[in-house]
Amino acid sequence: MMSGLQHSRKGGLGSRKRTVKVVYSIVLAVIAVIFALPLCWLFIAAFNPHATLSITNTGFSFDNFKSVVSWDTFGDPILNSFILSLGTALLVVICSVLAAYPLARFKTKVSSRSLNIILFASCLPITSLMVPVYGIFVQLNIIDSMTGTILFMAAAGLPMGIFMMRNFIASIPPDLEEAAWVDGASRLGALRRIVVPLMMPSIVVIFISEFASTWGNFFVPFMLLMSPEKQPAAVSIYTFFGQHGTVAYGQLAAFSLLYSIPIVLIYVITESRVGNNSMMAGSVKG
Amino acid sequence: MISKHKRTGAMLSKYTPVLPAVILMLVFLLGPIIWSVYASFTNVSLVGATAIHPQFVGLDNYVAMFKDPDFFKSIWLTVLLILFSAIIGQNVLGMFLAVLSSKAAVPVRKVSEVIIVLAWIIPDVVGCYCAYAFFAGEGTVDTFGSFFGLDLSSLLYDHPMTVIVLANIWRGTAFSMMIYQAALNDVPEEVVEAGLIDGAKPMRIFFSIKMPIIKRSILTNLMLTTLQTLSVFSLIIILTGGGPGTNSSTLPVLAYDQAFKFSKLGYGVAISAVTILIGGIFSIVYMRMLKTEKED
Amino acid sequence: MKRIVKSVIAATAAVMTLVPLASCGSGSSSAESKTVKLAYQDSGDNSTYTKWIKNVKKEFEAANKGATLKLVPVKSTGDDYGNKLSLMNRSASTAPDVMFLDSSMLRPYIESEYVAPLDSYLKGWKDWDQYFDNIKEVGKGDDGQTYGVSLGTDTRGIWYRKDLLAGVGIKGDWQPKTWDELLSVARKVKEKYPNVMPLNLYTGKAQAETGVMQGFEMLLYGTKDGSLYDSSAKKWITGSKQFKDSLNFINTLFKEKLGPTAQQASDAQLGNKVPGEWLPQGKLAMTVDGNWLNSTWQSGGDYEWKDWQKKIGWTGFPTQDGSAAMTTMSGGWVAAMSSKAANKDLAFKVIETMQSKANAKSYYIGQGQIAVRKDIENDKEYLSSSPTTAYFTKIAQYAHFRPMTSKYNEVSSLISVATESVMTGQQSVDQAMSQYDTSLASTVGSGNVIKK
Repeated sequence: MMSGLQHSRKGGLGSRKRTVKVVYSIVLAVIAVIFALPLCWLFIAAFNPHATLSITNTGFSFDNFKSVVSWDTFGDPILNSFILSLGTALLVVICSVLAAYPLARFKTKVSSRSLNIILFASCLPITSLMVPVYGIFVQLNIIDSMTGTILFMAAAGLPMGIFMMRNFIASIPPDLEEAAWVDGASRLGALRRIVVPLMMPSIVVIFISEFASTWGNFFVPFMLLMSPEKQPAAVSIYTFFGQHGTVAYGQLAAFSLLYSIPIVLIYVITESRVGNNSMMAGSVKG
Repeated sequence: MISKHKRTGAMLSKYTPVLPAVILMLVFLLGPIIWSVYASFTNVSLVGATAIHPQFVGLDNYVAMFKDPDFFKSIWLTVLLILFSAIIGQNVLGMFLAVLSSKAAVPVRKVSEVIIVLAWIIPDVVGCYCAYAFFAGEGTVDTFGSFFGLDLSSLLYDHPMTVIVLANIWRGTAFSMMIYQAALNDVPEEVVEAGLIDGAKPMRIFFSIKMPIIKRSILTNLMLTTLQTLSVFSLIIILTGGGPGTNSSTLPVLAYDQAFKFSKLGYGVAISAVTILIGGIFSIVYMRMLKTEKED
Repeated sequence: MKRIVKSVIAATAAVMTLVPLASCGSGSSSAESKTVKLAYQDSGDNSTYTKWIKNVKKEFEAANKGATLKLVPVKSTGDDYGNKLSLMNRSASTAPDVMFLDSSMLRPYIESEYVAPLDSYLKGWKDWDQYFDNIKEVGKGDDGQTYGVSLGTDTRGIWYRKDLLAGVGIKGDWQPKTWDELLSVARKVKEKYPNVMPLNLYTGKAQAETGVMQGFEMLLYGTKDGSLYDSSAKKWITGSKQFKDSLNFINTLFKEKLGPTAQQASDAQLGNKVPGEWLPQGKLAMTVDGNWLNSTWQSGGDYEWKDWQKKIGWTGFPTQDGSAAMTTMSGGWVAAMSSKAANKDLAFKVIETMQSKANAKSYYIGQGQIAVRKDIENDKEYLSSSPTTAYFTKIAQYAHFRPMTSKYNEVSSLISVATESVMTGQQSVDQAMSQYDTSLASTVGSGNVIKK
């Protein structure tokens, strides 16, 4: 009797679960399709030699790709994008791990208040800061320097990086490091051996989002770099905008596709390695 | 004396790791911000006579700003954008997607996640042009509309803010979705099961058990998405250019127009100062809520 | 807290010394510098432009042993070039020695003291006599000195579908005499082809300077004595009948649906649609556009169109009452020298090289520009470089230039606001005009306006 009841209850739950699964899957799929729609144009236009904004005007050729792939407009700029993005993302990760640790562990008024202040800074539209930043670059003689540009973009990414990193560290129980101190490890040593490995997922999140935002940043490199051979892809994409406001949509789309591939690949690879679920955990717990 | 020295010493070594970040931010963020605040009290311009001989004008820029109807309209548009795109759009939809994906079939979940994240991870210019081609006349939406006999060829003109809100939701929801997936994942199984045994409906479990547990993640994410949305710039420039008229000129667009198009740098940075203030107000509200939550 | 205040004060002091509000040039390198930096806008896939500049570099370096011309292309569209160039000019170490400026950028640059007067160099340059006098005016500052050498100019007219206009009885050479005649043709087109847009005229904020210069000013400067600026009194004009008539033309165009809808006019991509879709597909009968319009249809252009010459005709834009045969507006770019240039003699040599007869000609041809020199105006190779060159060169005699003052760009924005509120119907012509008058006075100063 008992077992029978349990059985029927389980069966009911099972079929209910299946219905939930189907309904949820359908709704999710519908939303995903809506999210995919704006991307369709990119693929249609890239292969269309007479592309416009329309998705009905179709054609097929690789002409657009042939005309955008050259060292000057594609190879070199992509390489520069890599250098800038990698440099910026690494610098943000390293500085924010270092800075977030004391901020998370030694809770003082100064540290929490200063954290709030730097966080407000992250909402600043960079465009409005460009004039003084340019002035500082001139004074420090780092105009047209990739390193200088990396330093600035890292500084702009730091508030968010530190904030997320601090939240993550705060969610790691301090006992783990304390155990390490007993073993005679220094604070930095404990940070390196105990905390950093635990934080890998969070580090990956910050690395990727910083990498992605630098990869797409037009305004900063445009203003701070002079030499054409140092410009990243976000600037060279303007090759497809003509003198009198005309846009070569087909070439723009083809270039955009190629330009997006590396960043998508980086995301997919790290996601499959680390899994974004655990990546985000803790970084916003506060 | 010695002990005080020791304390300072310990304090210093404690905070040494903060130095690289602090130096970077002092030089490249705080420096320019202070310059901007100072410049907002001058008539410095990008070109023209006052580019080289700027004068101190006191509060003139701020007075002019508060006399300008476009400025208040711009604040209103900015708040609208934050409300509908960041708070309602990205957060609610992000949460909804996180819940859906936790129960959906694995292949559907994987593919959907990739698509939604794609919209977030593609470079700025690319994302903005996709959105433009989607909403512009003869673009994707218009084509679908004419299928059903609707004329949607002038969305960008008739409803610029709606389009910008939708486009920004499309661009940014992935971030909130991932945050909420992680947070929901962290909710202990036992708590949910206890609720099930008590006979709670799934809706109730979500709102009265899960939500309170992840409240801190929600508030923090609200703050992050608000600050991100406040600085949305290229999306608006590419979609509508801030128009028609000033119907979609949010604060960053207005500040840029004044500083660069009209060359009134001092006036432009004064508008930026207000932008920071608005970000600050929103953040303080969220932080207050975080704090009261902590005391509970 | 005290510590924070202290550190903020310290940081402020540090920043103030680091970044003076005004640029104070620390003077770059030695006066004997043998390197000249040239800044130019690198927009679009204009390989002929790049080729032309590289050729200038080669010639310059061959003629001046030991000298280098360093190219500083600024890859950008629209306003971005001006923004970056202005920043570069704020400090001596990044200011280019020679730069290309849109003629409307020159005046503000003169006021900022970013550019140097060229008179002493022009005296010794034999080619300077070849430039038309009205073109020389474009490069002058208020002090009467010359700061810019014109690289070429442009003119504007009406481009039309021959087949559509033939349908309303217009065949062969056509030149509308008055605004009314043009409007009546537009009305006939609308009647005969209800699905065709009769006449496109750029207006409103989305079209920015194009909408002002190629739209409103084509009208205003075609009225009798119409102008934005009284150059003898050095005052901006308010309340003129000519201004009102021009707005009325726009009002008629939009009210009678003879032009684009307000929505279409507000699309930043309008300039793409006209040559890319509307004219080739026969959806548009006439457009007021620049002399370069056909360059997009040539082979290798963005919207290649083999048959365009069979379908498209071009003619001048009429004056209001027919008092002149036609009217047009001219702009174009100038080459200027930085006031911070270390070796000005050498920098001017670069301008001389790029403005040799051969280089000037290849610039006009390659960039679809109108010649500004007597010795090229009638050159066979130049005139035959495009089927439209001869015509648009001929109409340059009717050209008006935009007011040459540093406030022009700001006034231009006010005009686009006025035309936008008329085209959208948000304001009546009178309202738009009185708003323009008020904002004009506050922009240029109430002492700098004159009522006509």
